[in-house]
This record gives sequence, C-alpha cells and structure tokens, in this order.
Amino acid sequence: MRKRINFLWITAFLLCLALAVLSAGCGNKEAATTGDSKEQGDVFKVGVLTSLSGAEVYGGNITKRGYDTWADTVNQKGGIKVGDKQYKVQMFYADDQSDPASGADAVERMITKDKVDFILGPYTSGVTLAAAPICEKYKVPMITGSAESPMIWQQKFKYTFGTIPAVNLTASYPVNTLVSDIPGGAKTMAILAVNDAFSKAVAESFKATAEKLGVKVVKYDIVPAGTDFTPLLGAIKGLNPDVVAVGGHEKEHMEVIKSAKSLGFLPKAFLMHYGVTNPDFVKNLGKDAEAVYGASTWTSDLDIADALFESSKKFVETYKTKWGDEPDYTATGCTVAGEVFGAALEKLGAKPPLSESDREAMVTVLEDIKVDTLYGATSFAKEGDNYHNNTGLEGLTIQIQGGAVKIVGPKDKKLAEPIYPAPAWDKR
Amino acid sequence: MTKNNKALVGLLLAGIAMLMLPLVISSFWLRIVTGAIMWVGLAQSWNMLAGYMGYVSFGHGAFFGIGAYVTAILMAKGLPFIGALVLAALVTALFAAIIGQPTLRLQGAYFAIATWAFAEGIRQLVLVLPFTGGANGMRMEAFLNENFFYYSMLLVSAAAVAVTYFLFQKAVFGLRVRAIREEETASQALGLNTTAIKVKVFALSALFPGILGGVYAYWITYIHPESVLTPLIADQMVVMALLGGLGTIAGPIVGAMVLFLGNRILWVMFGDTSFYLVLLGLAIAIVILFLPDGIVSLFTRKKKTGEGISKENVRNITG
Repeated sequence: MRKRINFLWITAFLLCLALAVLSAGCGNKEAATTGDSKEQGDVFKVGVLTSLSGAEVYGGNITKRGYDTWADTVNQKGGIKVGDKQYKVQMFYADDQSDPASGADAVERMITKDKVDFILGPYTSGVTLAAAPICEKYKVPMITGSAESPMIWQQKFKYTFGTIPAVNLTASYPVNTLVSDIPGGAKTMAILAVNDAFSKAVAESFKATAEKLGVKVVKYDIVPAGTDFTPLLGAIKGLNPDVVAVGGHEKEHMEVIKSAKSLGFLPKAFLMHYGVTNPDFVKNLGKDAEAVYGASTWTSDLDIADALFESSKKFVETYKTKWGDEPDYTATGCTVAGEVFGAALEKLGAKPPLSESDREAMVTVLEDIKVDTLYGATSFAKEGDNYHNNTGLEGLTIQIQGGAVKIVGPKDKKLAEPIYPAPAWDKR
Repeated sequence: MTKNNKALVGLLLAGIAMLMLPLVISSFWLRIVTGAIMWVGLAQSWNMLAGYMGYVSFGHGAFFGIGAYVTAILMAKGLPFIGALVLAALVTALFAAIIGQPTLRLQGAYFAIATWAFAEGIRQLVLVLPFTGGANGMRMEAFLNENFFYYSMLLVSAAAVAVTYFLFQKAVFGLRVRAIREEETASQALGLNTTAIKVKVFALSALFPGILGGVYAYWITYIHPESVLTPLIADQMVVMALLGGLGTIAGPIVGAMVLFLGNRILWVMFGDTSFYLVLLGLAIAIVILFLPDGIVSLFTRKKKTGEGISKENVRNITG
C-alpha cells in the first residue's frame, strides 16, 4: 500500500515537472518571437557562455551584464551595420556551471543547436580553455571579455580572442610608479600571494618587475587559499619593507589590511591588483582602504571617446541606470568584446547567418583590427606568448584616495598625485 | 530460465542500441550521453565499495583526479594515450591499495573522514607539485573525435558494471564482501582474511575512476585541481548511487542517468537562469523522502538485492 502511495507521489511530481518544463519551453519560444528577430537570417545570433551557477556565479553575472549592455545598446541603435543594412543581435545564453566540462557541452550546444554566428566567452580561464578546442572544431570565433590567464594565449587557439590583457601585462605598471615615478621611491618589497593561477601570476609579475628595477624582494610567499595572514604579516613586519605587495582577490586583500592594522604594521605602501577597484573594498574597510595601490586597465573616471556609446562616461551612465552599479573593468571588457565583434562585422561586410568562410575571414579581420573603444585602443597580438590577447591597452596605476579609485600613473595618464608614504592608521 | 533469456535479450538489445547511438543522435547529445556514461561508471565504482562492502568513502573523487593527472603528465612526456591510460590505471589502483592499508582499518564515519582528508591532501599536493602545473592546471592537445570518447567511456563503464555483476553479485568473492558489510567481526570469525578482501575491493573501486579520469582529461583537454579533484566529484558519486539504490547493480546506473541527464535536460530548457538547479534539488529531495531505498526500489520487491546466501554458498564462502 505504502509503495502505491509513493508511486502516486512520484507520478504527480513528474507530471508537475513535465508541465513546468513544457510551459518554460513555450515561454522561451514566445520570448524569441516577440524579441528582435522576426525572420530567420535577419539577426546575428550571439552565443553567451558564462558562469550563471556554481562557484563563479558572481563574476559570471558581471560578464553577462557587460554583454547585455552591448547587445541592448546595439539593438536600440538599430543593429550592426553591414553594407547599407542594419542587423540586430539576438543573444543565446548558456550556463557553464563554473565547470570546464559543462562549458564544453554548452559551447557544443550553442554552435550545433542554436547555430550561433560567434561567441562571447566565459568568465573563467578554465572554461575558456575547455571551450576553445570546440570553437576550433566548428570554426566559430569567440572573444572572452574576462578570462585573463596567460595560459590561454600560449595555446595559440586560432578562433579565441580576449579583450582583457593578461595579468602579466598590467602588474608591472604600479611597481614602476612606486619605484621610478615617486621621488625617494620604494627600495624593498615583500610579496605575499594566494596559490591560484591569477594571484600567483600577479605575484610573479610584481617580483620580476621589482627585481628588474633594482628593488630588493625581502620575502616571497605563495600560500594556500584560506591561510591566516596575521602570522605572515608579523614576520614581514620584522623585515620592515617599503612595500607589501599582495596577489589575491577582494577577500584576501581585505584580510591583509585588517591583519596588518591589528598588528600595528603599516608599510609605506600596500600594493594589490584589480580587487581594490571593487566597490566592496572601500565599503568594508572605510578609512583603512586609504592609499592602497592597485593595477587596472580601466576605471570609470576615464573619459574616452567611443563609437557606440559616444564616450566611456556615457557608457558608465547607461550601465548604472541598467544595473544600479558602476561597471568594473570586467563588465567593460565584456561590453568591448561585443563592440569588437561589431566592428569586425562592419569591416567584413558579411550578412547573417555567417558561413564557415565568413567566420574564417572574420578571424583575419580580428587579427588586423584596431578599434578605439571606450576601453582604449584595442588590438590583438598576432604572434608570441600573448597570441590573440588585447595588447593595444596600457596598464594604469591606481590608488584609493578619499574613498575613490584614482589614477596615479603612469606619468602621462595620471589624474591625481600618488600618496606615498601612506598616512598612519590613526591619522586618516 | 525464460526470465533469464528475457533479461539476456533485453541486455543484448540495449547493448546494440548503445553501440548504434552515435549514428542517430547529434554531436551535442552524444557529448551529454558520454558524460552520463562516465558518471554511471563512477557511481558504480563507488557502489562496489559502499554498496557491497558497506564502506562509505568521501574521497573517491581523488582517484578520478589521480587518473586524470597521471594521464595528462605522461602524455605531456610524449606517451600515446592508450599507454598513458594503462599506466594511469595501474598507478591509481596501486595508490588505492597503499592508501587502503591504513584507512580500511577504520570504520563508519572514521573511514569516511579519513578518505575525505586523503582526497583533500591530494588536491593540495597537486597545487604545489612542480610537474602538475599547480594552480594553472594542465592542458592537453585536443583530439576532437566525439565517437572515440563515447566508445571509450562506454567500454570502461560497461566493464565497471560487468565487474560489479559478475564479481560482486554472482561470484563467491561477492558473498565474502557482503559478509563484511553485514557483520565484519563474524566474517573474521568465519576465517575470512577481511583485510585482504577490503584492500582488493578498494583498489578495484579506485581502478575504474582512475581510467575514467584519464579519458575525461583527454576528452575535455583541460584539467585543474578545482575541476578533477573537487570534493563535488565524490559527492556526486554518493548522491547518484543513493538516488538510484545502494548495493544494487541497477541503482547507480539509474541514479547517474537520472541525475546527469536530468541536470542537462533542465539546463537546456532553463539554461538562461540557474532556476533549473532548484528543480533538480527538489526532485532529489522528493526521491530521498519517498523512496529511501532509491529509485530502483520502485521496481524490485526485495529490500536488499543480490543473491541470498544459500546453504551451498555458506560452505563456499569460507573455502
């Protein structure tokens, strides 16, 4: 009897599930027809592969916002101009579940089922590395507006491009500012980093630049994620370096500052990387975040002309009204990835749907393209270790001043004077 | 006899269908089925240990990772895939035999914690060793032949299922293993060398994840401690086996198919958001709530499957 009841329950549940699936399926179809595409072949189909669930969902959503900002703006303005006609774009999203294997499945699906013309790529480097071979197989170009592991470019995937410069291209800028631009600049440095691909690459780049400039690296520690920084900083305090450089993400950056303050330790400068541009950094640390240095390729302070948004300021406005937050460099890199595709399509002059030879020709166009976007001059390397990565950009040295991110280097780009040494913890 | 014939015919037809599958489905669905078959093998391997011997391991994902890394490292050194895979299988099984010596002396929760700690240790080790690529992971040259990976996974997983059936369901060895599950002290009193049996089962249940890990690495072309050594792999083996029915041959097959295909089908339908994960969680919760013995208990009358111990077998078990 009990089994029978169970069976009824299961059947009822499965029916509900089937109903839910069915209604959602219809919902999707409706959305597709009421959307921008009326006839097939009238739109560019764009695949968006990113982390919409799993460990990287926070970053994945930022990339999605960046890609959506591009698509919505393009469609508002009538679409991508090819010859004398404009074509709108239609987005196809796929969740990679923050897992390379799921990412590979997702990209196969977008290419073979949705028949996308090109792909806006993943948030993580791991998924990019798993998806890239499938793009090679079907000859579908992909631009990632986020992945930045140097390993991707060393593989020399013909169909994969990236708008964010690899960390090893940007981390040298703040070290240069601290050592060369500031009178009586830094002489000694301690480097601390978490053992993940991004953070380690940051630390390696800090170290290499420091040594090249004649700075003495007094400590170099790569530690597992989740390590307590207090004892490490205690040891560094004894060595009294001018600069404490940290490779990590937002969370670790905040922990380092908190631990240092609890030890009463303040080097002349803290140097970190992208994480300090995240609004949460200043929000959580308040005055303790003051005078921390970082590296970036872009901040919302910049005012750069742009073909689609008119200027980077206008882009920031659009993004803010849409999502409520300021765009960071990742969201911007994603929007620009879309813009670069747009520019390439205009140059190529191919109508949707793109044929295999169109897509092959697109790679050649992308390799030679040089677009001035709201991100700065964007172009891709054709050879070397940065193959198909954006090498058109220059890095920026940034510093938290008065609770805001300010550009303090390099010399020709600075919008504020660097503060060095940092004011004492209690004098802020 | 007729029942056996029917089952045999059914099995034969299923086998032919599986072999013909790449001819009829698209390359996307072939990828999905390949993934599902891999999980059948993984869940079945875990079932050998947990279902038949009663030792719940939360570190079985480590063997998958070891297989993947050994294959990747050997192939980077220039070995062909098959050679690297065979060596990876041997290394994984040997590794398990060594790890099994101390951990299999523990029981219940203690064993579960020890295996989990072992897996975590391997993950941290891979992150710091000089030849594993550390936090960068490893990439392998892509071999873009979906059929090859489909048949490879099918072969390995079918072997795992066959071993479970012939060794754990049918052979006297299986009776000994199940005797350990039911009452370890009593089986020792019967004269069984339980340590030797336990180590053998542990090594065998690590062998298949090791091979599958190697095939996975070559298939996905990129491995990273967070993708092949994540605790999630062991967790999924556990959930799949429990969902289908622990200690049964069909359980892990059904569990892996339902969970993996369910995940992917919902993902295709609702891929724009992560709402599908809620549905999936709900489905699992309902099955656990109403079918504590797994999905297969809907179709079988026996509580614990496997052959009952007949008088004849009691004589065999100690022999």
